[in-house]
Amino acid sequence: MLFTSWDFAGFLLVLLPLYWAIPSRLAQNWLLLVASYVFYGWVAPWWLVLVLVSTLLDWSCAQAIERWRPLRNRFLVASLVGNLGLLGTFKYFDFFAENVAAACGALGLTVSPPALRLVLPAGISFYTLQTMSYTIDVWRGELRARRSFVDFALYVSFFSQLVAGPIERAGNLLPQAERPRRFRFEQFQSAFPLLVTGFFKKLVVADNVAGHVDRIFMLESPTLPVLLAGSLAFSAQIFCDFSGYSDIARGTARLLGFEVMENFRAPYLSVTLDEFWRRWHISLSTWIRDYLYVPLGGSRAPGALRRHGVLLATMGISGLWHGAAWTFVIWGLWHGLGLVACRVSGFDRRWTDRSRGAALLSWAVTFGFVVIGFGLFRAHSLGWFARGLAGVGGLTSRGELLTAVSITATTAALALPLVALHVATKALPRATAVQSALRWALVAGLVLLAREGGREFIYFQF
Amino acid sequence: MRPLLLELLIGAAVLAGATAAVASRYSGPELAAARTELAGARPAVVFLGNSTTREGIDVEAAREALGEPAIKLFGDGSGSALWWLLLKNVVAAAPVPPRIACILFRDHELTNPTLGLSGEPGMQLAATATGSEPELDRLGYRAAMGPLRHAAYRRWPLWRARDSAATLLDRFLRRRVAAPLLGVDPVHADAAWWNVLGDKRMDRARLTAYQLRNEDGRDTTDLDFDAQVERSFLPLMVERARAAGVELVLVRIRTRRDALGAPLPARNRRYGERAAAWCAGHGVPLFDYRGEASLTADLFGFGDHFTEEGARAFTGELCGRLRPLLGDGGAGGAGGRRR
Repeated sequence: MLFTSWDFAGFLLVLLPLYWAIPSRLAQNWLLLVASYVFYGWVAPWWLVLVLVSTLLDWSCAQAIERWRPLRNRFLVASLVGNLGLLGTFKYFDFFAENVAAACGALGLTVSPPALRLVLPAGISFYTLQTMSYTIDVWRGELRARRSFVDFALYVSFFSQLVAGPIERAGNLLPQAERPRRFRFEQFQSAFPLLVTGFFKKLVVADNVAGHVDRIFMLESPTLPVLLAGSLAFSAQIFCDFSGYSDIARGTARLLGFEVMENFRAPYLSVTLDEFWRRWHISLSTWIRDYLYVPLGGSRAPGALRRHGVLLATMGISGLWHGAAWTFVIWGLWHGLGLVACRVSGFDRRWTDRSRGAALLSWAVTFGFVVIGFGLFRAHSLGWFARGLAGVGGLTSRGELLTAVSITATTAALALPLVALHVATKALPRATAVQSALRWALVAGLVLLAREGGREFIYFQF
Repeated sequence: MRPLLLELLIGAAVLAGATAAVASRYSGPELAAARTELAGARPAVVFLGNSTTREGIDVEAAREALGEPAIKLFGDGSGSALWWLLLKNVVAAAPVPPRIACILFRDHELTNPTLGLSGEPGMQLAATATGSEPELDRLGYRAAMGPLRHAAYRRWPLWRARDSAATLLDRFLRRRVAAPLLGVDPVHADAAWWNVLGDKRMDRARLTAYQLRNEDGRDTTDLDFDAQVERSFLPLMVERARAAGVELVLVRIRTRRDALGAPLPARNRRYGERAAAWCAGHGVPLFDYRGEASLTADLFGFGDHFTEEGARAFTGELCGRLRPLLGDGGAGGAGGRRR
């Protein structure tokens, strides 16, 4: 079910009164679990089998780890193999098979591995990370294994964040599922700003910009200004699409008395690349840090070369997590290289704190780097994108410039109300009436400019 | 409760202000130009359709093949709602109506009355409507929107303006911001934009794959002729054309997919069979070009659009079939118009 569909509006209208009418926490959790399965299985009921397998696997592995400590490594391996096996089969099998065949072909060998051509179940990349982190935390002794299957199943499949995150930690969400929840009007009301900004970001900015982006990235040979405008527009689209989803997820969670973690913190205002990754897709960045980067040695690995290698490998894997294509891996490595370059050159906060000019320059460089990265992320091949950047698309006519400028202007105009609200919130924290007026302006913008037709969220494909 | 009350008051004020701002900007119907053109050209055949008609019909070739003048009236991205209005308000309302009105459609475009109601096609629709269009309202808008949203559409100008707001914003920024900034005449701004991002600059393989994906992803109910026909404009078109003494001819066009030999989904094939049976029962000629082998893949330019050579070949072939329906007739001018 899409957050932006009328089905979802009806789903919430039925669920909310029922949920708050129930006095018992356990019954509320049962209701939420059933509702989450209805939400997830709405389009393809067979996806429920996978989420159930993943839930059962980690619920039992975690209990076994706690019960039979000497054998805990084996149960951890069982969990990892099970989860990564699911992910690998559905998401990466064909990609690896194609690349093995291509590599063998380059060596003069003919190999034809079978292709599974499986449909990728929405959200599988998100909930597998979520369940794995639970089992790893129990294995590390940082969390106790939960007995209640219902509470744990709800943690895995809570509909507001099941399909595209935030990738919640058990330490945050499970205790909330285990506590009694009473209706509080303030919490209910606090969902409104999140829902409004979330829907505005997705339906007004992301979906309106998407048409231009699609056309640019289908061009046979784009010129440099058009490609840059397309990359900029896609940067706005992917941010508004994904952070819009996260806002709606947080808003719906609040309607149900839950607090889900913040996933984006104005990432395009970052003045360094390091900062960007602390503000962009925070739940994934912190997951990668805690369960991949640090265990691999992280910043404490001996030798600069090894430290940089760990960082590059981590970012490459993070890119691959997004999708089974080389452009995603290269996007991850692009950011990895950027981070390494910043560390080697000392281009970080110490540098940017020197003066406003330095901070502004640093912001421009960081933003440009991120935009190029997203262009690469959206491109269907590295060669196509590189040719566009190199200006192979031909001489720049005024028509090309006009197209680039008008698409940039459209993107900026659509995003302007969000910028105004952000500025007002930061600069006038006490002027609640101004903020309120701007939020209602977003509502008017939604009525006027929201795209209908239910375009999927970009991160559903990951 | 005070903050909540204040919040609601602010909300009401902002929404009322936004409604007042857009209410005066809604433009009324403009039919005169199309009617004048038709009256001046006095064609024997009028072709109605969307961009596939724009690219697929060569009016000069039509005149040569028919020995009679012909024009085409079309709207990019339009569907049967616009064709119904063109037929009713322009073709059938002409002092001297053409003898044949030929509607060209793809797949289910003919019987889905909810296609092309918003965005740029929606604006063309509004410009082709008269003050009262009960059929369009009932079969198009209400069917597409449901009762609640339809009521909002009718009663709330802010909601109604959503049909065109995004397109107008785009156009305003292109013509009034980007064009003056770069010294481009605003009149040429749209053409310059389409020169860069039009189908002709697309990667053909990607565009075709994109279109095929869209076609494959189409809902089964979209291609259920029997379920759709009574809720479509088709019976009204047949009736109105007959009343005006115009012969209605339906043409299911060949697409790039057909020319490439891609298998036609079963539901799409069934749709063609059911449409043919219905037309035969109602005495309406239907020419189905999906299997026309002479229209080969190299005659297609981009997407489902013919090249100039393809347009000449297709128009010649089609007019060869229309000629016997015309009988004897007079002569006049020929032209084309985008509505």
